[in-house]
Amino acid sequence: MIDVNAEYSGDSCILTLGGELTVEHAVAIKKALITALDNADRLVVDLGNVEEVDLTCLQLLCSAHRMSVRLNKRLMLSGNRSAAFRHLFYTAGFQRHTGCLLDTQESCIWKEIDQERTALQHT
Amino acid sequence: MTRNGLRCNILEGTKAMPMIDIHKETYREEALELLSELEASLLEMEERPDDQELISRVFRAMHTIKGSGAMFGFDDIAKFTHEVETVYDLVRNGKITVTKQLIDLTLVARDLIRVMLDSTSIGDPSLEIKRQETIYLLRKLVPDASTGGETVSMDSTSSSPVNKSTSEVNKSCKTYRIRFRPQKEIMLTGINPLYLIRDLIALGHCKVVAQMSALPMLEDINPEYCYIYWDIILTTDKGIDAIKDVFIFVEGSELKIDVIDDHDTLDTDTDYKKLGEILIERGDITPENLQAVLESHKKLGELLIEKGILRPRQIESAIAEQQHVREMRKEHQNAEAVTSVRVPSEKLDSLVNLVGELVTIQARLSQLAASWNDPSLLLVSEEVERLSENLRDNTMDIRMLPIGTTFSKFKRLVRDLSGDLGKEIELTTEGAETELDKTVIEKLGDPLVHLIRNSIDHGIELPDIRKAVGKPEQGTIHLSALHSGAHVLIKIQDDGAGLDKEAIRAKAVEKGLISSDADLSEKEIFSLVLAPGFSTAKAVTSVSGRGVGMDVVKQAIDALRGTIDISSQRGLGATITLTLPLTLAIIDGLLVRIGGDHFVLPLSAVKECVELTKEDAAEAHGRHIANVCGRIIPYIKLRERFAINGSVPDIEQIVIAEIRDDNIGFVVDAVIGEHQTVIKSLGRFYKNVEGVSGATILGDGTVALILDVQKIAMLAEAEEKTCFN
Repeated sequence: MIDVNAEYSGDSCILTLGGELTVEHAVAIKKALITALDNADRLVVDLGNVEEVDLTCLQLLCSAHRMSVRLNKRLMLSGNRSAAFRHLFYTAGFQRHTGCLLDTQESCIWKEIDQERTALQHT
Repeated sequence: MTRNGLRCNILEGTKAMPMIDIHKETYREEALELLSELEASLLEMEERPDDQELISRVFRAMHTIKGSGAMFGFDDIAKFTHEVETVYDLVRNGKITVTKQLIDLTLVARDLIRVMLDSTSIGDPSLEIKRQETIYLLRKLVPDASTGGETVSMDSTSSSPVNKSTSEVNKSCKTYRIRFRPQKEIMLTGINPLYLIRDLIALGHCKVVAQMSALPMLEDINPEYCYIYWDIILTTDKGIDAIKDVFIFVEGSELKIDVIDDHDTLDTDTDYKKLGEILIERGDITPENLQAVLESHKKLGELLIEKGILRPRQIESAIAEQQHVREMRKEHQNAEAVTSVRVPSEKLDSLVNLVGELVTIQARLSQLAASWNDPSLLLVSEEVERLSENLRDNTMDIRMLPIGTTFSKFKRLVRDLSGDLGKEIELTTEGAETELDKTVIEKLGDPLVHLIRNSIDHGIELPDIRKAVGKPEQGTIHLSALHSGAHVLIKIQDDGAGLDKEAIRAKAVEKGLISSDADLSEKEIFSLVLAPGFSTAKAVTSVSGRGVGMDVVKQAIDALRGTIDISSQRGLGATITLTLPLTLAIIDGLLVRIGGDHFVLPLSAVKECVELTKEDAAEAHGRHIANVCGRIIPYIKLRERFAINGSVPDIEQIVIAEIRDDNIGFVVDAVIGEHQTVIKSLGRFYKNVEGVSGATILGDGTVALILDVQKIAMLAEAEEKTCFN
C-alpha cells in the first residue's frame, strides 16, 4: 500500500509519501513527484509515515531534486522522516558531505540529512 | 587485564586435564576476571549513572560471559546472564535508566554468576531459587515491550553502520575495496542490491558510498532500474570468498574486489595512501591527469572537481576509503598493544626456582674463579654474574603485580559493610599501580580485609555522632600504597574516632598482657592491640569485634616479613602502616661469617660496616655499645645469641642496620660481601625459630641462615627489659 497526499498552498506543496515506497509502487511515486514539481515552486516531501522503502524511492527523490534545480525550483525533505527511511538512507550509503555537480543551489537533500545526524551526535 | 605484558592465571594440573576441561578452566578464569571488572564498573556507575562508556562496559562483560559460557557448556550461566544482558541492552538504548535498584540487582546477579562458576554449586536448590528471584526482579525493571516505539535508533545507523569492537580487528583482518556496479535491470531479476550491501555490512566494519552520477532526470528515469553504483570499504576477517559469496547470484554486474590493506604488513604506520594514489588505483583518474593537476599546487580534490576530471562524489568516496583504512589501522595497533600471553602462575614459580638455582650455581662459579685466580675465567664468571643478575631482575619483574588488583575488591566491601552498619563511608585509594610480588599480593588480601573491617566497625562513627562532633557525615577510609626502598608501604587511614589509649591500656592490664604500673610509650600501647585475644569492642558484630582480627593480621604480616605500625589521634582517626618487602623469592643479601657458619643479612636494611676491636669493646665496660663517628650504636653479638663456640677474632665487624628509624649493630666475625640470596623456606620443624626468616644455599653447597634483623633486635630489646625489671 502506498499513501500519497499533496497539499498545496500558494506556490508551495507538501507531498506526504507514506506506506510502502517500494519498487512495486515506484511508478506511482515518480508520477506524484512530477505532478508536484509541475504545480509548485517549493516542494516539501514528508516521509514521516514511510513503513517500507527501497532503493527506487531514494533514486526518485535524488532525481527529483536534480530536476528541481534545473527548473530553478526548490525541493526539500521535511524533518519528519520515519526510522525505516533513515535506516535505509545509511545502509545505501547515501550520506554526503558535498552536493553533486548539478547541485548549483547547494540544496542537496542527502547532505542535509547527514548534517542533521552529525548535529544530533554532538548534542 | 595486562600486567607487565603478561597475564597470569592458575591452571592446576594443566598437563593431566582433558582439552575440554582446560577450556572450561580457562573460561572460569576469564569469567572471574570479567566479573571483577564488572563489579568495578558497577560501583563506578553508581557515581556516574549516565556514563555511556560504563554502561557499554557492563553490557560487554555480560555479553562475553554469556557467549563464552554457552560455548563451553555453562548453559545455566548463559541463560541467567542473558536476562541481565537484556536489561542492559535496554539501558544502552536509553529505554530504561540506571537506578540504585538496578545496580544492586546487577551486583547480586554478579555474585550469583560467581557462585555458578564454582562446579560444586551445580544442582543447589537454594541457588536456583535465588536465580529465579533475581530474574523476576530484573524482568520487573523492563518496561512493557509494546511501548518499545521506534525500532531503529540513531546509534545503530551511524556512518559506519555496524560498529565492531576493537578486538575484532585482529591479525586475520583485511580491508577490501569493493566496487559494485549492478546492471540496470537488477531489481527486475528479483535481486535487491541493498540486501547485498546489508550482507556485506554484516561481514565486518564497513563504509558504504553510493555513486549517483549516472542518475537521469526525473522525466527520463525508469523507476524500476538501478542507476546507482557503490564503493564499499570493508574490513573483515571472513576472507574474500565470503565477499564473493554475497554476489553469487548476481549476473551481468560489474564487481571489483581489491585488498587495499592487510593488517599483516610490517608497516606500522597508521597513515594510508594519498588521495591521488587511491584515485589512480580505482581507475578514476590517470597518472597523467594527476601530474597535470598537482603542478598547480592546490588541494587535489578541489582541483580535480574544478577541472571537471572528477565528480565531488568520487573524491568523497576516496576520502572515505582513506579515513576507513586509517581508522582500522589505528584500531589494529591498539589491539596489538594489549596483546599479552596467559601463563599459568605455576610456570612462573618454576621459572623463579630455576633462576634461583642459576644464581646459586653462579655463586659457586664466582667462588671457583676467585680461588683459581685465572683472569680469563674471572672474566667469564663476572659476565655470568651480570647476566644472572639481569635475568633475576627480569623474572622478579614478571612476578610483580599492581596492588590495585586487591584494592578494587575493597570498594565492594566498604559499600556493603557500611550499608549493613548504617554508616556512610567512602573508600579512596592511591598508588594502585604500585607493584608487589604476586605471592605478597596473594597473602595480603586477608589482612587488609581485617584492617578495613576494623576501620569500618571501630573507626568510623555513625553519621549522627560524626555530625555532633562537627565532622562530615560521610567518613573516609584512605587506602594507599607507595614504594620506599626495598619495601612497599601500605597505609589504611580513617577519619574516625581514633584509638582510645586508656581503654587499650586498661584492657591490656585486665587481660594480663602488661602490669598495671608498666611505663609504655604511645606506640607500645597501640601495638598491644596486635596481641592475641585482644579486643576492646563492646559488642561482637558480624563485622569484627571477636578479637581475632588484629592477631591474624599480625601473623600474616609477620609471615610476609613485614611490620605493622599504628598511629592515632583520639577523635581524628587512625593510620595503620604495613611495611612489606618487595619480594619473597630472591633478595640482595650481605654474607657474613661467625666461626665456621655463614649468615645472610638483608642488604636493604644494612647501612654500614665498621670494625670492633677488643679495645673498643673494653672501653664500653661490658655494655654492648659502640662509638661510631660520635654516634652511640647499641649492638648485638650474634655469636652469643646463636651460642657459637670457638675463638673470637681480635677484630670483629659490626654490621649496622636501620631498624624502625634506629641504628642497631650486629657483631659478626667477618663480612664476606654482597650475595644474591635465593630464599628457601625452612622446614616445618624450624618454622617457629625466631630471628631467622629462611635459608639460602651457598656456592659450595653449604647452607646459610637468613637473619630477620628486626626480630632479633626486638627480642634483644625485650630481654633487656626483663633484665632491668
